[in-house]
This record gives sequence, structure tokens and C-alpha cells, in this order.
Amino acid sequence: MIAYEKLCLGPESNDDCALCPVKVEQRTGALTEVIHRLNALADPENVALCGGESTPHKDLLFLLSNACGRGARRIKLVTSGRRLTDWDLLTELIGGGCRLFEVKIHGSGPETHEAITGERGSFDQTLEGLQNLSTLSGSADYEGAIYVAARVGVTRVNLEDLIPTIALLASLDVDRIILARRGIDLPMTAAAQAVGNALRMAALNRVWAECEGFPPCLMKGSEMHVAELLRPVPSEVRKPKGCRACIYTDICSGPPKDPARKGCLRGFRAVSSSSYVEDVSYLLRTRSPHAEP
Amino acid sequence: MPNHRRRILLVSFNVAGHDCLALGYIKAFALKDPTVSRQTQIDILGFSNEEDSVRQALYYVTEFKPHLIGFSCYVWSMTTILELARSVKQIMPQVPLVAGGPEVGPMADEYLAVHQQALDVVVHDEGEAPFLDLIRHFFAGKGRLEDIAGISFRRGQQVVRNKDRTPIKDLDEIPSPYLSRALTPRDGVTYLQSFRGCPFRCGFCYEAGRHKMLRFFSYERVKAELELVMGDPSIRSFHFVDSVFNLNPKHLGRLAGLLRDANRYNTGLRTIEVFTEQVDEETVRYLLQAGVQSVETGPQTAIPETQKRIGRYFDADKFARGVRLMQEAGIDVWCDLIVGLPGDNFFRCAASVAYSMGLRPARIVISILHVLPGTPLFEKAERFGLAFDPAPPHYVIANDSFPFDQIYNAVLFSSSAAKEYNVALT
Repeated sequence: MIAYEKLCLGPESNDDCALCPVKVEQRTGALTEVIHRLNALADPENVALCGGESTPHKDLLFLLSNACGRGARRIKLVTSGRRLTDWDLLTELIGGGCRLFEVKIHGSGPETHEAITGERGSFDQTLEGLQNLSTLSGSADYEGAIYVAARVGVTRVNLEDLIPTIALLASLDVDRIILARRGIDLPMTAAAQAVGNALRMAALNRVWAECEGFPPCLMKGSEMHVAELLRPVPSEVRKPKGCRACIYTDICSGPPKDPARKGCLRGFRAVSSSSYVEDVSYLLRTRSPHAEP
Repeated sequence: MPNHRRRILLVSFNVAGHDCLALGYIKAFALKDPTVSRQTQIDILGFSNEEDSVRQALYYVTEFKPHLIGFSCYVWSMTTILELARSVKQIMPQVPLVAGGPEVGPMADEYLAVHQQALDVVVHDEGEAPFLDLIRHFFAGKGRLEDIAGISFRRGQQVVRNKDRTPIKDLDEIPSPYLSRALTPRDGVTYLQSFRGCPFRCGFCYEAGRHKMLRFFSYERVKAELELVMGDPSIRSFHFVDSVFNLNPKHLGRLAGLLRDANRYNTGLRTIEVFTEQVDEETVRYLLQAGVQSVETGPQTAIPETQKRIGRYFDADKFARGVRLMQEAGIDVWCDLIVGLPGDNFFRCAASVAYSMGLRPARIVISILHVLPGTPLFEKAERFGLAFDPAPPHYVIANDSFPFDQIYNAVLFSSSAAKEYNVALT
């Protein structure tokens, strides 16, 4: 539920993800500019360092130290995890004040993961990075002091592999799994069903999992896991006419953009009633100041 | 010369290396009796709830060759104690086994009926006076079990319930466990108490099912304990187990003065319970004077409707102000949340987590509702549609607003969210 101020360290990446969400305007890689943005933050308590890929940045440790100096209490590194195979780098990062890691992984094996990252060998490195984090957070020195989230981009490629991916992540003791919609060509109804099953699999393994980008009308029965309902942010995105009558219309970000493509609107139905609406509204009203504005 | 003293063993399984204050009181009170002091040897045996095994404990207990054993029973240790007691009975069937404490007291007769192979006597409420009577009965043949108020006991297959006992009015009748050396103060795990009882009636709390009347130790007695504990430079911090440390400005002011005067080595007071809505600038001044470094408080839930159902007073704005004042004064505030309260549901739980994070406390502590024997929620379970495990730790299963699947997911969600919040750099 914590919202982080995102600091993009640049577009560089050691992966070549086809669906990389980094936008051109986020590409502010120069150190001076990153520091300037950090200094400009009104409340730098929670900071997320992301890319491209954050770990190759040569000034990463300096930035960590700078963020700590500015009063950051939670510094999250958003990463492919590939460089976390380097034990020295990992311990330096943790020693430097980075205690939260969000590792992007897209499958339970190289076939699906690397079909998305476009880099051979990247899966084994990401897995080893996650294993290192698991080893460290299970050690007496760091018990309860390291938080690991896994971000799985849900695409056409890995729909069939979501459940094995959840099983793999559960075995690595991650603290949270995020299943995030990627790409506009995703068959949403089928994807929502696969995601719903994956969420249940995670719960069965006692791991908290949530989904992003899957509107509540598609996630009936799994509303508790819809990130947009847990961190409700009023949405002003223009939605199709059919969504206007939906009880979640002020919160939901709606169907993927370009809904006309491939009959993407199929499956989206305005939700007319839900036992959760009142409580979600309450959550919206009382949400943490940490929540996104 | 052989030691003919009767050996009494007081056993507890403690959390996080703490001592059992209750057993310290029982030992100190018993040894006040000159005959008991002369003729018995009372030892307290505290095991680690996390690290020691039942067989290990059994070995220790049998090595002591006790003539009477008392167990201090809490929700976290009851299962272990029953396992130990059953084993002890196999080896030493002649030794009377007495159980007391918040887990067994309110269900004394049920425990005796169900666990016939383990327990002989269960104390209903406060244990000092009944246990002394039991020592006199078993070792001096004084009085009949039927005449000891405040206990239930087993006679063959039958459970006999005696009348309840009026609690000791003047708490100074109970010697200090520390001043009498029944317990030795240790850094970080020493508990003191200035009064018993609680003015509040929170539905989930054991204190709410007990005596409404507050009873106080004298300030002279508290002062003497403080001077002992705080006069030891190796003790860097300790705790007060008072249900509400800031009970009222007068009491808090008096305590703060005693703490300030006894504090020669900059000793800190940690994780005391405060009523946050009542915290104002004056309270904060007293807390600082008292050397308070951290406090533990609610809100348990941020949903007013739920608070009302469980009998708690809650004012979100006053609570937030109290937390802010303490944090600004450098006092760490730990906010507690309970998952599974009647009136809540998954999204209400999420709202409580969001509200608590918004207060920016030092830590957020999540726990699952234990429907504890003797609490209002336990007594009125039907009214709340409460389903829970009748065996300890009495985890809630569902209630009329919070079905099981939502409780299960709320535990996963809030534990993850709290961990993410708590990894913050200090």
C-alpha cells in the first residue's frame, strides 16, 4: 500500500524486453538530473529506483547514499535481478540502505522468461538473484529486514506458465507477487481466468499476490487481489460508454487502450452491485498519505 | 544434613526470553508464610516457548523430583504444557499438578474434564492466595480442597468447582518478586506493574472479562522496585505491564516522577501500552520524564463500526494526534492491528492498514484474532457469529461480517504490507 516516488535511472538495460513499459519521458539517466529529481522530492520517505534496469548504473551506490541522506526510509530497487548474482554487489546494496527489491520474472523457466526478455541466459541469472535474496532474508542477520516482491508481466506468452511461476516464487519465499498486464493484444477474458487461478495458487502457498491492470469486472471472486481496489486512485481515464454505469468507474482504469482492437471489449461488463463497494470507497477516503496522489 | 524440604516447581513456557512475572508473584506470596518458607523449596523453571522441547522440559522437571507442580498457562503455551503435564503424570502420578493463568482459569472445569490425564487442580483467577492454600493443604494437611476458594479440582472422574475467590484487595500484601528475589531483574525482559485491572472492556482482551475494579500497588512499593531495577547499570530497558500506562494524568505524573528520580543510568522504558486518544502535550512530557522510548497501542481496527461492536472507544482524529505528538517527541509508536474482528472484512482491514500507515508509526504489528477464554467475544461468540478453534491458540475462523476466505487473504495481505512498511531504515 506504500506508494513510492519513482526515480528512473535511465533506459539502459541488460534485457531487451519487447513490452518494456519505460516511456521516453522517463528516460532521465544523467546522474545530476537524478540527484536533482531526488532533491526536488517534497517527501522522499519512499523511493523506488528503476530503469530500464537499475543495477548496471555505475552511480547506484552513490544514489543510495544520497537518498538515505535525504531522509529516504524505504528504498526499493526495481530490477531484473540478474546482477544480484553478484553477492558482493547485493550485500553492498543492502548495506547501503536498499532493503526492498522488486524483481521482474516472467516465467517458471527459460522458455517463457527469455521469450519476453529476449536475452538468453537471463532466466538463470534472475533465478539466482532471487535465490540469493531468499538466502539473505532467511539468515539471522537479516530476518525481517529484506522485502522481496516479484513482478510477473502477464502476456500471451506466459499465460499457460503462470501457475508454475507462482509455485517457483512461493518456493523462493517472496513476500509479494504482482501479476501485471502487459501488452494490448492480451485475450483479457482468458487472461483474467488464468490470473485468477494463479492468485488462488499463491494464496494456497501462503504468499500474498495481486494483479494490476485487470478490471474488477473481469476478476469476480478475486476482487481482494485487484491492486487498483487496494490502492484506489480516482481514475480519469476515458472509458468506453459501457463502463460508465459500473460501480467501480471512478476507481478502475478500464479496459486496455485501443479497445476496438481484436474485440478487446468482450468480457468487460459494468458491475452493477458488489458487497465490496462501500468498503472500497471507505478505503479510498481513508487511504494512506503514502498512496499515490 | 539431608534436605527434607518439600520441593515445589513452578513451570512456564515463555516468549522471547522473558520471565514469568505471575510465577514470581506466586513464589513471593507463598514464601511470605513462615511455615512454607521453612518447609518448602520453591523453584521457577522458565522454558523457551520457541526453542525448548517438551522432552527437554520433562527431563528438567523429573530431575527436580518435585512434590507439587504449578503451571502458568497462556494461549501460546497451553498445548505444550498439556503435553508436558501428561508425560509428567506418567512418570510421577503421585505429584499434584496445578494449572493457572488466563488460558485455563476461565475454562477451569472444561480443562479438568477433558484433560484428566494431565491436570488435578485449576485455579480460576489470580493465583497467589489459592496456590498458598494448596501448598498448605498438600504439605501440612491443612483444610480440605473443597474449602479452598478460587479453584476447581478433580475427584476421580468428577470435577468439583469451588466458589470463586475475592481478589486480594491490598496488592501490597503480595511481596515484590524482585525485592524478595523470587525473580532477578534482567535487561530487556523485566516487567513491573503499578496496578491490576483495566478501565476498558475491549471485546478481545482477557482483562475485559475480569474485575472492573482497579487495584494499585503503593507508590512506595513501586519506588522500591524501580530503585532496584534502575540501580542496576546492566539493565538498559524494562517494561511495565500496566494495561494502560497513562491511566490518568495524576497516576502518570506520579509514576513519571518516580521513574525520573530512580533513573541514574539512563534506563529506558519500552513497549508500554498507552491509551492514545488521551495523549496530549502534558502526557508526552510525562512519558519523556519517565524515560519511555517506545509505546504499543491500537487502533486494532480503524473502522468505527467495528470498534463499537467490540466495545472499544475510538476517535480517529484524537488517535492520530496522539501518535503524532509521541512521534514528534522521539517516542517510537507501534500500532497494533487485529485481523478477524467482527464488523471488519477484507477491505475494511485494508483500510485499517492504510490508516495506520498514514500515521507513520515506527512499526505496524499484525495479529490474528484469538478468541480467548473469558473475553467478551468468547462469551458472546454467538451474537457475533464467531467461529473459532476451541483449542488454543483459539484462532478465529469466521464471523458474521468476515468469512474465512477473506480472513485468510486479509492475513496474507496485511502481513505482507506490514513487513514492507516495517523494513524501513531507522
